[in-house]
Amino acid sequence: MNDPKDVRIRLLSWLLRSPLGLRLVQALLAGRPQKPHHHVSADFFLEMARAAYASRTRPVVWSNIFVPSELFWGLGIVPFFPETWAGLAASMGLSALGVSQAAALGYPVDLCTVHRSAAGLRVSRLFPRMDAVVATSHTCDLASQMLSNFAHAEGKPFFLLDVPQRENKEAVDYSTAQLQRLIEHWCETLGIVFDLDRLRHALHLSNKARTLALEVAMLREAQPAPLRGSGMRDQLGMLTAMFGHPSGIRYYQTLRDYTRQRITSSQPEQTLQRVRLYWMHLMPYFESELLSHLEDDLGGVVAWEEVSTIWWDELDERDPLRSLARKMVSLFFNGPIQRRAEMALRLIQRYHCQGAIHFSHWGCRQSAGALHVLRARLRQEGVPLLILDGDCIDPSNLQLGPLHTRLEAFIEMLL
Amino acid sequence: MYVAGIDIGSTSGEALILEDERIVGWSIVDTGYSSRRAAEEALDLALSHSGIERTQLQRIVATGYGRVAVDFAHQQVTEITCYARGAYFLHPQVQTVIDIGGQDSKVVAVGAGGRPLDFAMNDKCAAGTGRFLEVIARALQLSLPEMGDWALRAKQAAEISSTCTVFAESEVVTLVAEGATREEIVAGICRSIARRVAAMAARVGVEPPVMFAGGVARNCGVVRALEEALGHPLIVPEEPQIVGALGAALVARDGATT
Amino acid sequence: MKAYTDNGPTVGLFSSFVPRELLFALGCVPVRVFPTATKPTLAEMYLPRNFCALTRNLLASFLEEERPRIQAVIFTDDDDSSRRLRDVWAEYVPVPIWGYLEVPRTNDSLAIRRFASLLADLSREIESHTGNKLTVGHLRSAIAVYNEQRHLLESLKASWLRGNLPTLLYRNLRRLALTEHPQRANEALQHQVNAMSASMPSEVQVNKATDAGTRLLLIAELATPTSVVRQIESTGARVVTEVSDLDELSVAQQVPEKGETLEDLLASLAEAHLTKPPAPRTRAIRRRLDYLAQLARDRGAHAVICAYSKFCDLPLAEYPLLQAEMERVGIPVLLLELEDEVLSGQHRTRIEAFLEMIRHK
Repeated sequence: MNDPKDVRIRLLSWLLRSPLGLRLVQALLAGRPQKPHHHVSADFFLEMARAAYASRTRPVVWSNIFVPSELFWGLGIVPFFPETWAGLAASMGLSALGVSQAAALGYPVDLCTVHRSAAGLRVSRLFPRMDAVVATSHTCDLASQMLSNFAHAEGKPFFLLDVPQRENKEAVDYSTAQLQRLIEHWCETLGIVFDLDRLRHALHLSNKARTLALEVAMLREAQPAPLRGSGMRDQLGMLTAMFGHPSGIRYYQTLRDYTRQRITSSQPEQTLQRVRLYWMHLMPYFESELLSHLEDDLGGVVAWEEVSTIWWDELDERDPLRSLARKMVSLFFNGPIQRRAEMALRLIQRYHCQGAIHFSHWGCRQSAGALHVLRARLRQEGVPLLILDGDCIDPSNLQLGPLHTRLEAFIEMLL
Repeated sequence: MYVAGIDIGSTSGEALILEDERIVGWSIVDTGYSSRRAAEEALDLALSHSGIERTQLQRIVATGYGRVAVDFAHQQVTEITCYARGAYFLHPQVQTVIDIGGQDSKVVAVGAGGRPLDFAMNDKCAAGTGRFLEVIARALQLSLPEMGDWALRAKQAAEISSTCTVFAESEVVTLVAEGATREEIVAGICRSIARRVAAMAARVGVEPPVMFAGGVARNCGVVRALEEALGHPLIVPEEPQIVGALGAALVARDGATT
Repeated sequence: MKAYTDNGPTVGLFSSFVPRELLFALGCVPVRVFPTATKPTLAEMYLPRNFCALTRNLLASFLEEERPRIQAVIFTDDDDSSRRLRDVWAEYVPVPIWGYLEVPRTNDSLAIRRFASLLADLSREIESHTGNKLTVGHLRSAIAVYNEQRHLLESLKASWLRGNLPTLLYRNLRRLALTEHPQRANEALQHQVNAMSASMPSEVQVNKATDAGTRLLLIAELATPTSVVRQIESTGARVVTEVSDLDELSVAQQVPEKGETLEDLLASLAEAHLTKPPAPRTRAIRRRLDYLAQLARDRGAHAVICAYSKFCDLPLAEYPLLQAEMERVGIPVLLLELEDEVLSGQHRTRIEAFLEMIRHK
């Protein structure tokens, strides 16, 4: 109890579980000078936290980030994404706690820190209750493996959505049928009542947010780039949680207006812009000199991030499950690396990028596994790719000196 | 017109003075605990070898791992750019430069005029760097220069499979315990580092002629193992350690004339 | 009906989920690929160093001049490593990919139906390469060949468990079954079975002396490295089961041969392969732990050794739960993370210390 870290964790655990505590956090955050869209996202996550930690009115389902969020909001379920919250914890400087707890649980140190940190935070009581667990099998092995471990540890039902690699009609049919079974399973185990209109409404909200997000994407084509890449490092969290929730619309509306205002007032967030870049995979969730060195010292501007990409088509509200199945299957991280490479080339062209940077989060096999192929494909089109080995959760695993050298050499080469 | 290039690596620092197209002096010092002090020392030594005063220098460019600490330099440039420039100056036909540094190993594809076209550097592990050799040399109680000769004397190379420097060290201890000779172990280590670097080089695509620069290029065991792993002969400059400083001086000369 | 040819193209497999019957019925000789790399670092040209060691070694085996004699390969989507290996393979390995089989991770009726239809797709793909057509007759006889193999292997396993067959020989026979033409393999297995029944059990009680020693359950992916097995048995301990593709994770049950249509037969194959003992990829952690605990009980195992490839995520992430479950029933577990077949001094010491610890208990 004398350990200051212990006190901090107890306090945080209390704050998250107490309605009063959460209101306190909300008031504190509202007073902080932040960009307008960050207020919306903070409110959204606090609302999720309130529903997951402090309230018992709705079931809480833990999930990986690639289960379509519309499904949760459309069924009256509160989703909890350990991967996203591990990132959030890292941004609050709590990653060391998660990682050390995971080691104590026996997880080997070579596993991805996102998932190890989540495992550690769970046993530190920093995660909320769990009524059921769901995961998709695609894109990242560890996400579903760890969620299955968590469900096992807490004796809760686990449902695996087996998402095919190839995108075709049979794959969509198969995924649709599984979504149908998943809903039946939840009606049975969680006692929820399925309301088709409610699900359709979630898809409707999602489509509206999507239209706004696409507007943001269009605005970001501008030169100079209106936004700083480092400011967008939370995009994957938004993209995988907010769609289907009214906050999604508010968030992208605010972000669109903010982006537009930066353009019309000729006030880009980043003043020194010498080279436009496409950022692949994640960014460190914690404050790091890596991005500020790139942006402020070297003038490399991240014009677009891979994980900000809206990959799915408009959802068909008349056929919600099939639409959501298609959304899962069409993710460009799914399937062969060529799919990701072609997406990269389209975006590099669209955002007039001179080069691409792949941040290889240590231990992420799916993203780093075929980089040689990706790099060769990009080079074929005259786009150089820099691969940076780092860690987006654990600052102690991010060696800035060597990374700065690589960034500098890359920019020298591009200029 | 005199310019200087200073290359501060993790183990040694070099300075080189250029008068137009001519190298007039150079020096090599140990980096020690302070990159800045090593830079001062190296520059003073190179100046005294050249017989000129610091005030005569029009421009100084620093490179290498310790470049940021060289606050008296006019410009800091990475060793990628400098190795490409330096190698091109020495051998204009060179297409690829390899350097096995103490902290970082690099492979640079050299384009027209000594411009870097592409590069690859080691990943987070130190298994393909000079650090690896140092650790193993220490475990075998050998000096770094001795290692090359020992490697060449080996009839066969021991198999070092570990991907991690720390574990490779313990593997070496095991090999010693099992009675492998020092020659075999050293040859195994040279081969292991060469294969690692060759694999990294393949990511850039090795186009001959290939220059091997940096301090490790003095280790004949690694040179031979690297030639075998790459399938190409290597050009080792007479003074492989000064290629980076030379490149920095060339960048300084460009800056001074424009 | 006989198969198309005794010497069709040799097709390499990387997963125990690909029904070999299907390939054999199409005139191919399906073989499981084991790594043979002498220069494992070659793989680092294309795969990161912190990538599943088994996958890296498999790739390196095919980048060497002396590559395994295989005409084509079939990939599956078993895990992130196999997906990325396929990406690299397609670009840099001069052995063509004849098919990419997606294998459902679940095994309900929906998954079995889908898998059967994917097997039909795969057979069409292979037909386009071999020119051979999949027929009911060929598939039925191919299933019979592998059923025969399963029967022979079960009989050999019984002998091994009784202590009448040395572990290394038993494992070699299992490996032979995975890597040889199935009919030739069956002949060799039959020969061994005959030899066993001809000799009096008392004359061949190889492991009798060690029966009282420590009994070990091994868990691995493709196969436990022979060096580990040797090390264990050299100390007087005895391997009593191996949960890997080499042994317990292969399909052991007889696949129904009686189907009237191709669809029936493919459905039987799909079901047999999806309902075999669970591997980590199925994420069916409860089922897997129950299975392992039951197996440990059935075979009277005193301890477990997990011999996993370094950086191989799925088994490594499952490990803490497996360890907790086994220790709950009083079975200690040792984890080895291995780069290849070669055991380091540290690994050897750990195995020995673990076995000493168990003996002292």
